[in-house]
Amino acid sequence: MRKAWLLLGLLLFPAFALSGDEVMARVEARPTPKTFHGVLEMQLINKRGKVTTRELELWTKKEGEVEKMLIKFLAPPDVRGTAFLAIKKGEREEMKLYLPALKKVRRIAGGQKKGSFMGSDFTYDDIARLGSLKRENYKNKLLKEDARHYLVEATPKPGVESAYERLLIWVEKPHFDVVKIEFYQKGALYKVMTLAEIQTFAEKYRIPTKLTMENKKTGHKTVLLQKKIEVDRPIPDSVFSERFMRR
Amino acid sequence: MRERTRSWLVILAFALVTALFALGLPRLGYDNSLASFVPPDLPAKRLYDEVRETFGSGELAIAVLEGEVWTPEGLGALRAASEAAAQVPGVLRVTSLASAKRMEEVEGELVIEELIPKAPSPEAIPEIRRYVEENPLYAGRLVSEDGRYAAVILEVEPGGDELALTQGLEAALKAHWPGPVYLAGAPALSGYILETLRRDLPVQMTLAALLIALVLFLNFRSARGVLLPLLTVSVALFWSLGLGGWLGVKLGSISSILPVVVLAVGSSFTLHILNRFYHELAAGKPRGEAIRLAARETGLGVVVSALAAGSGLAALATSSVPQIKSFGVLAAFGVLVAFLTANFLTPALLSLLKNPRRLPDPERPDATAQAMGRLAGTVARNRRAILIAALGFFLLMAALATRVPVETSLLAYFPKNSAPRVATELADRVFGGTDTLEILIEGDLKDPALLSALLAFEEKAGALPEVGSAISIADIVREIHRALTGEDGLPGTPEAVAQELLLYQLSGDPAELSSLITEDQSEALLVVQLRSLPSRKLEAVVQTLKQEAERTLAPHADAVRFTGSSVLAIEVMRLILHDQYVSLLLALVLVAFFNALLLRSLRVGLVSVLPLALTIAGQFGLMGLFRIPLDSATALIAAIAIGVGDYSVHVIVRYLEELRRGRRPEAALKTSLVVSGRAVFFTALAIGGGFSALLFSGFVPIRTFAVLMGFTVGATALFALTVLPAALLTFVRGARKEG
Repeated sequence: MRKAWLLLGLLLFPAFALSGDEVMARVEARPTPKTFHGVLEMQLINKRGKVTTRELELWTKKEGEVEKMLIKFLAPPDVRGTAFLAIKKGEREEMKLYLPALKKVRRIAGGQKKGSFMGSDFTYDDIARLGSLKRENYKNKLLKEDARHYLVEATPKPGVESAYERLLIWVEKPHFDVVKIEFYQKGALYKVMTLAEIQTFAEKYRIPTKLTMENKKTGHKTVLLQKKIEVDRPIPDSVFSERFMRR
Repeated sequence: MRERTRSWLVILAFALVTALFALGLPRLGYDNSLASFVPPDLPAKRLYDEVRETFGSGELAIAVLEGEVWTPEGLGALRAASEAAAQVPGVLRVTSLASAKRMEEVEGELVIEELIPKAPSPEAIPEIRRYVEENPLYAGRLVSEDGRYAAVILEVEPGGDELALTQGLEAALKAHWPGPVYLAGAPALSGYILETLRRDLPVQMTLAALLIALVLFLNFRSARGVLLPLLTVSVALFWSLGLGGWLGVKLGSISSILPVVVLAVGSSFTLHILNRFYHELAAGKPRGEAIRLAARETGLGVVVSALAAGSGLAALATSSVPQIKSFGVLAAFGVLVAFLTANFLTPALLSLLKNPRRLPDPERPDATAQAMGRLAGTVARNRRAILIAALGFFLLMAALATRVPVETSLLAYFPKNSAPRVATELADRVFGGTDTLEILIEGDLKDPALLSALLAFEEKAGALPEVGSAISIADIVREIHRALTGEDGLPGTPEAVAQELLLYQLSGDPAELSSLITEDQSEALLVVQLRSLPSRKLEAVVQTLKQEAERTLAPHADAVRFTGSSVLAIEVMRLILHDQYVSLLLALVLVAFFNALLLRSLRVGLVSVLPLALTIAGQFGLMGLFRIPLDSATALIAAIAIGVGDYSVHVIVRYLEELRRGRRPEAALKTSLVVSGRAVFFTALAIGGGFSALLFSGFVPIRTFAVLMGFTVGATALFALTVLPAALLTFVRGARKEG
């Protein structure tokens, strides 16, 4: 009889187990690089399996609450040199675009958090999510734990604006790497992101070098391959400038 | 006693098989989508499917919302309604003012944002309205000039449950839009058709059964005479519909006449068998003998007419239109089953039932019989005149038949002032139509020369009064270019085009472009919106547009191909016409063949199809005379005429029987008409009565079909009692030896 109670107790309060929030806290606690430079190969794959490839070079830098990002298209040839600059100071965000064919830098209006990242199946939000899942905005519930993974269900807390009503997050032990996220919208699976070929950079940063986002509604898919990754190498502020965009 | 056991076994066997087929009934679904009309392997259909897949587009429906659009409340309601519509299962994409983008230069900043803010202030509205009215992508497409109507363009997944979709959309839109809501477009029309179908089908079946019961009662004057044929034909109906369920057949607007066809045609078989049975009983024969004679002797006529009916309907199975094909298969099967039940189940039941107390002879020399006797005399005296008149009739009607118009427009299904018709006319008037011509262009879509060719084509197309709008990626590029540079026109180099398109993708939803251009910019879709037109007119307009595209677009593109609802409708029209000739010829040949085989004479076989040939000429002649269009429903009348109209065989069978007994042709004819003429008369009444139930259909073509069937039934009976006897007296005068 006593054994039975003990068993029940173990089932209800599993010893040493982490809660969903704790799992996500461990995920967030992983360090992120201060600067990032690399080349992204973006494969856009339509429902019929046709692949369109774009290549872009990416620089990011974070200083306090200022985040800077510069993207330059390398391929295909007809958009080579097109550059996109985003500078975010707290809530204020400034975005500029350079089109070499018009030889013009244009400021473009923001407000596109839910918008597509460079025409892919990833949104800006999804890309930002790679850095931080904003644990405090979600109710995180541990659904399952096995030898290799934690499965956490994250639902936005009341009042938090979110494009998704539910996320299922697979976190791989022992590094607390996020390896898969399922995004749910209108009660149905909307998108699936998988993060693979995770490598350690500078002996502390765990960075997935192959990211896939599949839109279950349209059958469209994007694969992002991160190449030539450099982390924490100082990037001068002059990179995030109009002049550099035009170069 | 052995007789009784055998009868019980037959009944048991029928009961078991019926139960088996009945289990298939719940699987029987409804479908009236494009796919039920267009063969899947048609090149235009394959291209249509390819376009759906490549551009993620669906079939087009348009909701017209009536009410003041340019107020904060109006815009708010439009947004709520659009969002609610997007939630309805099966909806792929929703386009309305609520999803429209504003692309403008504001204080040195390029703004690409939602045209209508979440909560627009009354002051902001005139500015938004001005933007819309100057933008060719939105003006007259998403809101009417007077601001009294807003359009919600809905792209829906093909092949879904269109009834649930239509109802879901109506509920969603009406929940948020305070004014009237009108739904138009092919998916909506199909939804309405399915709704009508579900309402009509049980009513039509009941009505047909009642009318047939009435005729049966007039003929037999007994409950048994009514119930036995109805029972056997119900069994046939279960088998036929059950088979449909097991085969996964879905009923549509055409196949909805299946139950009535089986009821009407099938009941005539048992009517003939019962007639003979009562006749023999009244003549004093014992029950077993009467049953034997009915099943064996009259059975021959029933076999011949069932085979003829079956082959006429089965000829429809050669149709390439899926719905007509499945109708042909199931109707032929139902008719053959009705023959089985008439020839096997009916005798089994009769052998178990007590003889009726009263025994009126259905072949008694009553007023009908006397009239038939007089008719035989008249025919014999005037046979040459009758045959010449018949030839004249045939030639006249055949000449008129060339004037038959063809119609495949779904809209033609609905009576004037019915909700779908009103909605479509409104969408035609205010928003330029719901039909589409889709032009798939392959080539370098970054090439400014190709883009300006697209614009030139759109301008030419837009000038046609039948065209509502024409849009392509070129319009979007022009808008981006305007917003970016302030210039009117297109970018000058392929690089500039590529970069401006990239800009649009980076700033908004890339899915918006994907409905018009592929990611690698090697394929684009130009969509021409057309007002609803009669099929022939549509064909002419599409032809004009195709020629214009060949002239304007082809020189700059690798390939230009055409599809869309308009092209498919035209293809279906061609198929119906073509199938018509094939199935008609095949059916007549089959009937002549079976009749010749079973009556053992080629000459008799040829004479036997005379009434049918005349009737069919008459049908098409009438259609030509009154300009009744050949559509998916009326395309069936010839085949069904063969199914219902083979009474002549009963006249011939009796005539030959009398000749064999050594009687002179004139005397043989008189007996034949007196005895089988009455049966022909009542069979015609029963079948005509059954089909008249279709007069109450909610679909115009089905009503027309019912009227034409009235003519068909009357004409076949008339020809079987006049022209056929005249031809028999002229061409078949000698008895052939049995063997």
